[in-house]
Amino acid sequence: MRYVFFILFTLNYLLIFSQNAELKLVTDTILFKNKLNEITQKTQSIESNFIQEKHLSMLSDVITSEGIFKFKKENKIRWEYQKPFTYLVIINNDKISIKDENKTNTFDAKNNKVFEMMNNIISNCLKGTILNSHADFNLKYFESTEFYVVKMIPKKKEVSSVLSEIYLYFDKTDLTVSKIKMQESSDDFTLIVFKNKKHNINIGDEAFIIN
Amino acid sequence: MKLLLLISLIFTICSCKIPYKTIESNSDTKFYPIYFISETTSLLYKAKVETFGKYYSGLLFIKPSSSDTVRIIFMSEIGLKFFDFEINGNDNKINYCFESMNKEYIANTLVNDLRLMLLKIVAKKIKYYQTSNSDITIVKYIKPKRTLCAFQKLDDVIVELKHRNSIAKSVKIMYSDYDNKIPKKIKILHKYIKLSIELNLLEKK
Repeated sequence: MRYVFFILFTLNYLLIFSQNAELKLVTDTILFKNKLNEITQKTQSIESNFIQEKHLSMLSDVITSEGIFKFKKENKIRWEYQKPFTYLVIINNDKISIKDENKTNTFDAKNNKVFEMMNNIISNCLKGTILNSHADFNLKYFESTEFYVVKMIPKKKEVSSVLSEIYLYFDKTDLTVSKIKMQESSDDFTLIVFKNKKHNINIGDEAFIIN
Repeated sequence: MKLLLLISLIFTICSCKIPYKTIESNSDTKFYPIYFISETTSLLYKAKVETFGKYYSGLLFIKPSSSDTVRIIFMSEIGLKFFDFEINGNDNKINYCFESMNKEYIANTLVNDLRLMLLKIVAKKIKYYQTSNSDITIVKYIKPKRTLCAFQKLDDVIVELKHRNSIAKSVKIMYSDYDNKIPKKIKILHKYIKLSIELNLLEKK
């Protein structure tokens, strides 16, 4: 029995080690912050396709949805889900509007802590101020050959009861967010992957208004 | 005079035709609830859930993991989980429930409604009404408490289920728009409490 435990422990350790082997701690975080700040200062708008995957650990199933994402400085975001359902979320400064089928709801982002957090994470990533979120998150910096990875551990109970960790993947080639992984306290997680990113294209303000 | 009235009343009651006829349990198993979800099928519905004035929209994922076990997960469109229930035989397991829904009464009502919806019920002692000029057969189940199911004769798919568990809990479930014996639309409505679920099928895997 003792040997079985030893073998299981060793296998488990090797598995964890191999999963994290690709990521190593960033030694010069100031350099990374400065680079990110420099790039985001130049970014006025982003348009991108996104694929959202909900991974359910116990069921080995992935629920996939996709759509178009738009961002315009200072704080305008449009999430438009197109498949397999239509759903539109518009964040215009502190106001969040949701159009679900023909029904539109507008509310203050501050009234919904989880939405407020999502809004802050995404807009702060794009504005380059995410690395100053020490009041709300414990931040750790990692890197692989492809990405800088920022691991965010929520400090607020309202958020930590829903999400245990958030991982932001910044593409090393252009320092824009390529993936966001939201880990729940269980092994379930949501992964949002941004594809076909277009920077500084002209996006009209009407894209951030629901008719 | 009073005696005459009483006798005529008894005769009147006795002469009324009973609208349903009793059949022995196990004698006609085709009227037992038929599961519309098989072990190899998983269903993804767009869902609207209203619980006591709070409104949630998102995706409801239904996945059987064995002939006896079904996992039901409700999450927002942006992927945040609202609840994760497991129906295993006669047991309900609440794996996760979002804070504002995590009241014993709400969570239990939701999981029991979903159990009824999936017809994961042990049905006993049936009687049925055969409505004339209609392809609908209404089956009354004594167990679970006061449950009426309306089946469409053609292929025995369920179109409506009414269940009353207590004075406060009376629920009606409507199934419609069938595609290959899978209902594309389902509505769960409570009569006395503010709780409803509306489902529209997105994907069948």
